[in-house]
Amino acid sequence: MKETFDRLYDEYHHALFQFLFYMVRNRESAEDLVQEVYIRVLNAYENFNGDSSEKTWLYSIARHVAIDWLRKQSRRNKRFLIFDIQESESVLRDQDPLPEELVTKKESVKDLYSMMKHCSLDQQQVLVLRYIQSLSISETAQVLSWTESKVKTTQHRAIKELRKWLDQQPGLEEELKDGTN
Amino acid sequence: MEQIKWNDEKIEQHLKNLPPIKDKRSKQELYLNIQANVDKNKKVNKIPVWGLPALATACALVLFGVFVPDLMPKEMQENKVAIDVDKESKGMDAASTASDESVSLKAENKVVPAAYHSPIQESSLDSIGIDQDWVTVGYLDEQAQLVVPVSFVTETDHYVNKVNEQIKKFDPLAAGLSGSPLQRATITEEEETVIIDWPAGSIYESEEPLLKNLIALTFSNENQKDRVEFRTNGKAGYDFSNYGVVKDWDLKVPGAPHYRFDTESTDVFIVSLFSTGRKASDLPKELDDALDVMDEEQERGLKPFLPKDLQLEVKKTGEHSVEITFPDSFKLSAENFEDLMMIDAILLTAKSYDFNSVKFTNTGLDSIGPYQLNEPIEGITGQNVFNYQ
Repeated sequence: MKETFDRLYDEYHHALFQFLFYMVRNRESAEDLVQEVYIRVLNAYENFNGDSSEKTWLYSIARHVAIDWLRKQSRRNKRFLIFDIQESESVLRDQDPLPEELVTKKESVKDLYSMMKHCSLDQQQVLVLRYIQSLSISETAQVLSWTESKVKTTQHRAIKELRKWLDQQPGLEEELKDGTN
Repeated sequence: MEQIKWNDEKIEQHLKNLPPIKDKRSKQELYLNIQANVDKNKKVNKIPVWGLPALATACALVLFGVFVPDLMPKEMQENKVAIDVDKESKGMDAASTASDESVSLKAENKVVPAAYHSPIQESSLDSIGIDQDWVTVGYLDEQAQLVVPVSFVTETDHYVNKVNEQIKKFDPLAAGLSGSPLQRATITEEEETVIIDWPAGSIYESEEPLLKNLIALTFSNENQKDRVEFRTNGKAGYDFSNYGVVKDWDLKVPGAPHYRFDTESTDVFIVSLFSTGRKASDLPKELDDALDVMDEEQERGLKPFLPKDLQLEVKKTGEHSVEITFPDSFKLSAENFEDLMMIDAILLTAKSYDFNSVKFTNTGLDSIGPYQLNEPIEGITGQNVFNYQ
């Protein structure tokens, strides 16, 4: 088991942790969830039949773990909040402080991160997988068990949604000229 | 000052430049945490009998069949018990019957289930190393007075795809249910919204009072979807007899006490008061209030799983965890199948109130059915699980 863990860690840990963080937007939760992913993977590893690539299999498990967590969070809040599910998730995640990696970034980057929460869960998954994780359309489709066409459509809608929210944010003129960092 | 507008390229570039977030723990620290849990899970997986709830139910029925004659009063055995063995397979539900024969024991009006459909634990979906998932579909009982949610273990897929697949596959009549209005629909999804398209005149007036609850129990039992949109042959809205044209509903499944429902086919289901069409405002707001009424018979043929006047003590131990203590005067019996069903009903009720971890105390037992009672029971999911042969 140790050998398998070592290899998976070396090849995928950074990517898996990053994926989970950008899905749940909370470092401590991402730490718990990445552990959960390894536990599921290691328990099932002997039966992994290679129908999909190891990479997309791992992302697929991570995605399920993240969605389970998000659903539990929304259930946790539903008795106390009158908002709908997406709104309650947003409220919850708004309470989390920005990670230090983001605190030092320019306002435009922070705004973008903040506006991502306005996207639907499907849209967020596609944004994270396609742009932050740099997965191809085909890999993203495998992870999400979608058609490639659906990935493209969702990606397009996600960018459109982000643009709608970002256009409402004032004061980015100078930063955009400067670059993105 | 004219504000610069974002464009698609800038957004994409910014997304690619979001900073990497790193796990601050060391590899070794992480491995130690994981190792402990993997070993623990493997240990649990070694328990040979209760790996799958399906198998658990079958075994429980076998046990029950063995012990029932000894448990019944002698005169009941002699005078009032009729044992019917129906060798015609129902063509379904391997989990719920001990063999190809479906057996029902009738003692006066009390019917021992031929097929009891237990809930499922999330851990059992992962225990055999195959990526499994589940789905729940709401069906109406024969009188169309109750929504009976039926769950199926499936391959991983989009939730709506799984619903569509099971609607085609499952024969509700074989389980004593009448069907589902969803069987007449074209069901698709857009993001968190499910879209139901019926041809005009598809919904009977008698089905309408339960329709919202049926749709919620199907699509929002774990908050999968939060809204339904109706269409008629592709056009927005559906014209209901009682409600007029409705374009959409918000979906939510509230916490509710759970009861026993027996069908004519002697299948036994666990359903909540929400299944009777009640609104959230008409249901108990807290778990202890719900447990308090679970020893009472309810409308529409719902029977209690809890013995009359059983006082359970409820202590919240965490945001999603609760400890339920049985009174000294009551002890569970591992051989009593009704006790196992009672535990299932309490777990489902607790889950509906957002308690995913339940620790039972003062039960007098270490385990019952698939549950280890000396540790919290977690991850109850699905309801009335059917497994195909």
